[in-house]
Order: sequence, then C-alpha cells, then structure tokens
Amino acid sequence: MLIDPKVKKLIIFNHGGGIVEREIKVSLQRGTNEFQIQNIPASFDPNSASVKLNYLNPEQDKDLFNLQQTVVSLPDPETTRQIINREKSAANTIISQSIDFTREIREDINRLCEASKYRTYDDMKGAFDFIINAKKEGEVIVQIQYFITDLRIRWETTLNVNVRDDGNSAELEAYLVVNNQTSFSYENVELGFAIFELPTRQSIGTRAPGSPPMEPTSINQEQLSGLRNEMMSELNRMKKTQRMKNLTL
Amino acid sequence: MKANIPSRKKIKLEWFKTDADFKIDRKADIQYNATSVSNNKHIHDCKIKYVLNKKGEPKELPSGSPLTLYKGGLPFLFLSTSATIGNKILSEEIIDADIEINDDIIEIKEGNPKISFEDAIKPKEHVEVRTRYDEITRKITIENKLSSVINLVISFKQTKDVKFINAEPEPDEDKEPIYNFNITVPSEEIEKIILKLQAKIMTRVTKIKPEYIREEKKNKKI
Repeated sequence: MLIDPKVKKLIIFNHGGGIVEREIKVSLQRGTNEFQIQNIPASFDPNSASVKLNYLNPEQDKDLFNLQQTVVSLPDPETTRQIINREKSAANTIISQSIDFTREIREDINRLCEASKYRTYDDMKGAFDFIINAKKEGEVIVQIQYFITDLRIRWETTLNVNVRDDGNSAELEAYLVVNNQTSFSYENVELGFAIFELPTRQSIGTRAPGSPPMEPTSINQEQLSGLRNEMMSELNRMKKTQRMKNLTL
Repeated sequence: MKANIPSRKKIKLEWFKTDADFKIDRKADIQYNATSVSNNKHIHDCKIKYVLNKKGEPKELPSGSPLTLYKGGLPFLFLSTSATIGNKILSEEIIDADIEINDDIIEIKEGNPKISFEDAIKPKEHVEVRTRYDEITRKITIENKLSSVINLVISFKQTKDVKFINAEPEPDEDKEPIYNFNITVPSEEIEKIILKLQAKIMTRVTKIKPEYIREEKKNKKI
C-alpha cells in the first residue's frame, strides 16, 4: 500500500542536510502488510533510515503487530543523470526557440525551466518500503526517521545589533534563515535547528552516506599521486569529535 | 517552532530579541625576533572585536553568522560571529584602520660579545660563536583617528631571543612572557610606550683552527 506519512519534524543542520521525522496511522490486516512510503528524497541515507511502531494499546498490541523488515533503495545515478541532462537540454531549447509567450505562460515556462536547471540527483525519489506482520486486524502509528544528506537545505542565523547612544548597551535581534534549494517542500512542520556537519569523505574516494555511487573515471598518474598524498594526510589526521548541538528556540 | 518550508525558497524566522551589554575590545600584539627587534620601523595592526553579553538564557550560535551593527538606525558595520560562550557573543577580529600603531627604534646599546667554539664538520675547522646581549629601546606610538576616546590593550610577548627589561609606562599586567599595557587614547591624540628590551644576538662563523693556519700558509707558498 502506498502511504504518504506527514512530516512531523524537520531538524536542519547549519552545514546542510538534516533529520526528517514522519508519522502516520495505518490500518493493518491479519497477515503480512506491505507499505511503500512516498516522497522519499534520493538524498536520504538508507543506513540511518528507521521505522518505529507506536502501539495504540501497548500491552496488547506489542505481541500482535511487529515490524518484519524495511526495504530501501536509491535510483540509479547514471540513468538519473541522463534524464536530468535531457530535461535541461529540453528547457534550454524552449527558452532559446520560443519568443511569443504571453505573460502567464512565460511565468509557467520560467518555473518549469528553473526547476529543471536546478534539479540534481538529490531531487529524485528513493524507495522506502516496510512490512508489518499482524496477528489480527488493527491500527498502529508508524514513525519513520531518516537523515537527508542534501546540502542544499541548511540554515544560518543573522544578527542585528542596534547600538544605543551610550555606546555600552545594544538591542539584539536574531533571526533564523532557512534556505531550502531542494525540490521538496515541508508544510507546517515542527522545526529543529542543529549545529552539525555531515561527514563527507568524497575527496578521498569514499562517498557520503546516501550519496550516489561514484562513477568510474580514468585517473592519470599525476592525479593518482595527488590522491595518494591526500589519502595519507587524511590517515595521519586524527578524527575530531563532532557533537550535534541543538538550538534552544 | 512550526513553519512552512517551501521548495527553492529562503525563509526568515524571528528567533529572539533581547538587550545586551556592548563592549569593544581593541588589541595589538607585539613580538620580535633577534632580527626584527633592531629594524628601524614596524607598523602593527590594531585588532578590534565586538563583545555582546546578552540577557536571558544562553543561545548557541554557529560561528560565521552574519552580524550587522546599526547606529542611529543605520547600518555601519557588517561582520560575522566567531564564537559564543554562554551568553557572550564574540564577533570576528578585524583590523581597525582608524588606529595607527607605529613602532620605531630609539637606541641600540651593543653588549660585549662572548666567544665560544663549536665543532665544525671538517676536523681542521671550528665554528666561532659570538654571543652578545644588546639593550634595545623602541617607541610605540598609538594614534587615534576616531572622533571618540578608545581603550586598547598592547600586548608584548617576549621570545627566546628578545626579553623584556622595563617599559614606560609600566605594564598593567605582568604575566611573563606576556606584558599587557592598557592604553586610553583620546580622540585625535597620540599615546606612546617606551619598551626597553634585551636581545640575544648570535653570529656563527666557520674558521680554520689556529694550529692549522701556518700549515695552510706553507702549503700555499709551496
């Protein structure tokens, strides 16, 4: 069954990415119940994705309903790249060859072309399925949580300091600015903000969690030596602790 | 906090509004090595940092957040935060272009060199080490080109080759190897500090050992 759990909470990291918490109440039939979650971005990290069952009657339902498994998959990067390139090329053709749009159509076309211009692999959709075994009919609340590694959603603060005439005191105004350049929207969500940087190790040949597999490329001797030096310096460097700091709102 | 986050949009949310104590920290760091201590002139930068001590519960701010200072309703400085410590918000350090710090040499009293020898690579040679302790006097002038009085800390840090002897005025904080001077400079005025320092100057020359000099001369004659 196709389900679209509501995004209840979104914790955004200042360096990009975040944690999405979604929730839905599902009806279960006796036996195996398969669910497919809609609107999962391809930037989600399959390793961190988790499903939790919240029982309506914990004491009874605990033994009756249980999560059998979760199935996650990401779209193929090569195919996705081809599709995106074709869309971008089509958008360019529309812009370069059409001159007689009326104002209304022009705005629609602009929106479409812009959307295709900014589209990346992370705007594609991944698959997240789960199976619940039920010993009898009933209902359960399903909580889904996953990391998104799309660095185009991030936040920053901006401070305005109005210095008073005495020069020793000021009025401080702080704002949170959320920049969402992904193609996913979040309606009426509980927001959380954290100071955190997702680990990315793409520079030494490994990839960030959830990111598409690297394409095979030919590397010459010079690049190989540079890569080796980079890897050695990475090995010599000790890892530093990076604790997530939640903002008090 | 609940909000809508639309796709490809930037949204701005009010976070907090509070009063804060506002302080300006100005500082200049002075340090010499055996060579630079005898230079005729140095120009030091006066670094300025804004410190806000906000009221209410502490808020964690990421470093590098944009910070705009307004005076009389008009923005006068754009900078960013460097750190937050509890309720204290620190701005990044920038150079105050309106404060000029010139550092000129006044006097060098050369000390008597003490000669010692070290082994050289070749057995017939040795290294002559001449060590002398010079007394150097430098004048630091601080010019305030602003229309208001400023306070700044001149921080002298002694190094292995350049030691502090005394100063006029005397340092307000004496925590060897750092000597801090709290200086107040009225608008469009100049203040000065005279530093008396001791510099260890070492020269090394590789020479033929005296017992081999005659031999060398004989060989040349032949």
